[in-house]
Amino acid sequence: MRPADKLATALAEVASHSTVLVQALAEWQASPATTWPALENERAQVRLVDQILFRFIKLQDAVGERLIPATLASLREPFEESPMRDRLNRLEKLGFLDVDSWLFWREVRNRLAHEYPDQPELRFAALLAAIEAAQGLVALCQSWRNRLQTE
Amino acid sequence: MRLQPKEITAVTQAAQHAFIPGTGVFLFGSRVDDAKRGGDIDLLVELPASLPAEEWVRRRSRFVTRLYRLLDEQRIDVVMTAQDQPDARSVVARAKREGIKLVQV
Repeated sequence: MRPADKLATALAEVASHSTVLVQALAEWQASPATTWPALENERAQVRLVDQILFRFIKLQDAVGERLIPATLASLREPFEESPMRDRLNRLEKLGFLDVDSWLFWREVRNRLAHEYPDQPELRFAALLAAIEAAQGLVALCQSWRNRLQTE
Repeated sequence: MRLQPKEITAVTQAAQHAFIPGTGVFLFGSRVDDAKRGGDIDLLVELPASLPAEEWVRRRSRFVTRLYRLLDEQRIDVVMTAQDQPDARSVVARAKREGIKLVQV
């Protein structure tokens, strides 16, 4: 696949997850749960949170595994042999992302798997942090697209 | 204990970045066993006092994010507890029993 096609495919995948995530986030913000027990009592809210977290993970994968290499290839940046940290640092220099924010989103994602059982307040705080991270990731994708258009 | 000096330095820097004075960080799990190989880095963070939930989660994220920055992303498990709160979790008891102190902030 040519670099331009790879980039188009990556952007399409990012857009498909972003679109669903933006809608789900808007729905959450319209009436967010305020505690873990309140959330657990509302099946529709639980489904909404599941959708946000699932799309957050899928969007992160799409960016990390496809958009990052496709962007570097389209800019003719040598990256095939580079570890992820070098790719991230290069993209930060090019103005596409902030490495600390990216690593923070990775941390949020890695923590989702085993989250504070029997500690509802911490579980809820971690959930809110994940939702905030999802908002940040959506914003990143939007600015990434804008930046590519100006390259 | 199976941590490189570089890893111990990173844990120290990340703890100073994320936690208040009086916080202790201990290594436990497979990395305290010299006979094993590889494995997650399991850390117990003992805060001098409990924190509101949002602050608790925020500081934990700040700690791990800084470790990712210094050591690259890898499997790091952090268990947090507070000295002024009873904590009956078995993982905390185990970590306290076998833990090796790496940092005192």
